[in-house]
Amino acid sequence: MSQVDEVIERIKSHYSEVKGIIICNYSGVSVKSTMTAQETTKYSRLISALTERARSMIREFDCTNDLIFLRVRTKKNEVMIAPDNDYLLIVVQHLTS
Amino acid sequence: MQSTLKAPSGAKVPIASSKKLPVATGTMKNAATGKQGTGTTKKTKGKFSTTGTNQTDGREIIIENGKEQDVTPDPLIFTPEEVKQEKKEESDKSSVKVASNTSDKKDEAPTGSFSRGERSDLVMSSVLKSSDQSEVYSEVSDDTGKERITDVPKVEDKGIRDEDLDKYIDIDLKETETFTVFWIPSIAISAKAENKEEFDKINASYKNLLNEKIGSDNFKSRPSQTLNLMQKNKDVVTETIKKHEFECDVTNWMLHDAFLENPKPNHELVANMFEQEVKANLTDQLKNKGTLLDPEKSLTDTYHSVSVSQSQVTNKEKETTNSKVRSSKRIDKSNHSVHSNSSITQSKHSQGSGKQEPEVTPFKAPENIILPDSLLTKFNIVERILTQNRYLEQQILYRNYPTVEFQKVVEEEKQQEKGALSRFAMLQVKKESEKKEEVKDDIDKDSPHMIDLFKYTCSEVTDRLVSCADWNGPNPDLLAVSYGEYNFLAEKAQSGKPYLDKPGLLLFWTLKSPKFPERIIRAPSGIVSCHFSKKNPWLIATGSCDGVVSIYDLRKKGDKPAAESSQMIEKHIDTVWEVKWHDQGSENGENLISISSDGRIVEWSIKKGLECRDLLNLKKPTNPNQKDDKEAAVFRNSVGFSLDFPKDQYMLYLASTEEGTIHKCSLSYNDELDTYWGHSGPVYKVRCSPFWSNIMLTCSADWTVQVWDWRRDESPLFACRSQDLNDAVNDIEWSPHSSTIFSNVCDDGRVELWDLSVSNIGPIITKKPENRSSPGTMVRFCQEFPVLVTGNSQGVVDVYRLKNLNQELLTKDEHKKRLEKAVYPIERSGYHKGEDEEEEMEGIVD
Repeated sequence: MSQVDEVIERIKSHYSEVKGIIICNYSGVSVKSTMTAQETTKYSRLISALTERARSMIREFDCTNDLIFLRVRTKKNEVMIAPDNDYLLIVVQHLTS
Repeated sequence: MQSTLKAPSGAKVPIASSKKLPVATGTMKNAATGKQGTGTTKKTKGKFSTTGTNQTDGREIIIENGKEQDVTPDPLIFTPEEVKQEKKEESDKSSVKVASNTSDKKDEAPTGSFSRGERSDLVMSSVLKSSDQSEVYSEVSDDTGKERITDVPKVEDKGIRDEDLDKYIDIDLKETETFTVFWIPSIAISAKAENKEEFDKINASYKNLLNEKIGSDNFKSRPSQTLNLMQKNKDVVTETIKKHEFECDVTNWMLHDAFLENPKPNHELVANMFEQEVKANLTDQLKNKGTLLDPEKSLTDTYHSVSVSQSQVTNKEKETTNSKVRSSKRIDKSNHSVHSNSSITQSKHSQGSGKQEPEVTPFKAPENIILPDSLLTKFNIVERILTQNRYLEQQILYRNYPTVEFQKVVEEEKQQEKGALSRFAMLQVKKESEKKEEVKDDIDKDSPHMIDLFKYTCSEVTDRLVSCADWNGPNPDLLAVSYGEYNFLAEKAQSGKPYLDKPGLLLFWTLKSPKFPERIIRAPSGIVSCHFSKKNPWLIATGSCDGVVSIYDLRKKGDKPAAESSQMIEKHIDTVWEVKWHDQGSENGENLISISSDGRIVEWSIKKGLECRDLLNLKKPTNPNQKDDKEAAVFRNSVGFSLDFPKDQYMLYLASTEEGTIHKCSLSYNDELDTYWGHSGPVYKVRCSPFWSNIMLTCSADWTVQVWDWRRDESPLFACRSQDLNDAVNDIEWSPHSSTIFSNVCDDGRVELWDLSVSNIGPIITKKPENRSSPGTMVRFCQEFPVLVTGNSQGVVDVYRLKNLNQELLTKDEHKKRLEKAVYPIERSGYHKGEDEEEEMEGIVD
């Protein structure tokens, strides 16, 4: 737990554009978050659904394949999603340029 | 005889009509009087046939056919007594072997068979085991005069005795006569039947009849009405059939996963869980001394809980659809924790708990959640991505990829957003910026220069001195940088405090994470040199201030080296300035060679633990150029700073010393083979050219860099020194891409890049830092990319991209020739015989 905390602190301090970091599970319940409660619930629920969908798509093509990383780049942000077996790591970054 | 139906008085026999019985006709009579034995009961008994009409007492129903034959079906259950009696009476006719011990009490195996009683000759009796039989039979006497036995010994059922279990019992089975229960005669006969012709005739005559009917006066067709039976509607009301809908999406990969999982059937799961629980409980309890283990209780307890949890599981299965949540939480059910590996139960449990969670505010996650370590790898990936987002351009430059122009695209978009008027303004701005770019391009395209990419630094290493660096062979992005102070006196002078040996650091940097190293290794004492092994790239050797040579195995975690020399007697007793791995071919393998302030060059071998042997002791030689050597040599040994191996000859090596000499030594000799004089100060580094090993480069505290051909002369060929350089040159390195390019860093913090094919008077690139207080201590070329790294005493490693260097793709030979030409201009050299003499450069020597 502490190692994970360390890394979160490091990311927050080094990369100031990072809006927030969320660790949640697949049913959309967040375990750890650096954002407000409302935003956290939104992100975790919506993104867990999206990840399931993305993973399903990838595995439909090839069952032995699996999703490692998902990046959603929008006009204003970039959402980085790293799915684990049980948990989901979401990092939201503001884009400056 | 007429067969009659008889029943004992009072018996109710629901027989509607006697016609239903296939055989029996006549009436039913009551088996009236008749002598009844004591304790008669319902059991009918075995039959007898005989011509007698009246029957039994004790039989409820007696069926006789029209001929007054008793056709009552035999009862199926007899007591042994009856059998015996029957046997007595008609033993000659009976073919039943009754088992031994027929007598009174015991139960016997079934014997005999059943038959209809018709005649006396067909007597059969069957005996069945009847353990709860406590009835008493009485025999029926018939007209033949068999006596009835009134007194029948009581059959007491005492159970089977042990001896009986072991006895052999004979069973004789026979068939009864065949009853025809139902018979529909066929309407077809075989074409090959014997009486076929008969039937043919019959069929033909029938056909004739049919034909005659048509149009015949004898036959008239006439309709008739039949009565429709009255119909009645009947409604039935039932309870609603409970239905339950279930749907799920099934995808290819779900099938794939399920197939791989190979789930066990439910009963197996339960069995396994039960077993595990039982074992766990037993082992727990057995651990306590003197436990009076109550297996019954504990077993049933666990089973109960297991079955409870299982039923909960099955209930949940009915409720849920796909198993989405796979949680690794441990959930305690009642008193027992159910550790189940099957995904079904897991998912159901966690889904159940998942349902509870949303009611709680999302941040208050349960305290006992243990986040798996796999999350750390995800974090690493995320960090890399964040780095990439921020440093994309620099990384592209590093990797020498063609650049993508993001900026222009964004600008265009901005233009489109704004209106027409502002567009004009924007166009103007754009033109100006283009002009600027053009101007820059002029400068850029022509001359070589360095572009600042990254600064590898983090909070751990601020104000630490970068002593050495090395690239990893298989992973060219990985740069190991060692940190450790060796400028003791300088430090003391600056800070005024006595120097304390700070712990050394070895950091592993990569362009994918310039803000934080991949790994940090801490050493007890400042690390002054480091080198990756070429043969085993996971090994890195370090030399530190306290003389300890350590070898780290990077496959293992932690700060502990795989081998270190601190406990060895022959260890170095002073700063180890350089450690180098040297492959001596297949016989000796790769060994480590170190040079230290204590004047010894030591070879280390890791074949059997860490072993070392002295190669050489550096002695203070007399300088042939100086005639009077006034200084009395206090210490015979001189300090060695650096060593290097020429590429082609693996037995020779060159070592540089504090006296300003370079020694040519051999691995097999204890003495120097040759000595080179040229420097007037300590020679910090000696490096042979990777393209032409004759040429070596040395840097020294006497502000100069000297170029030598050590196979020819004991004096240097020429010196490279910028006009304004008034500080010691700390580090030097040949470029791996071009034979005539090398770089050096100096105490005033500048980085210089020289190209001997262009000029050996001045460098082609000079980069001076803003502040003088950070002397450059290390310079390295990247093996794969046009990148240069330098380190300074503030703990910052600068990464530069080299641009516009004259780096043509030449073969090694061509490179060698190029270096030759640069070093030996044509007039002087004796090397070039009969070659084209194009004077490309002005090579000025001396």
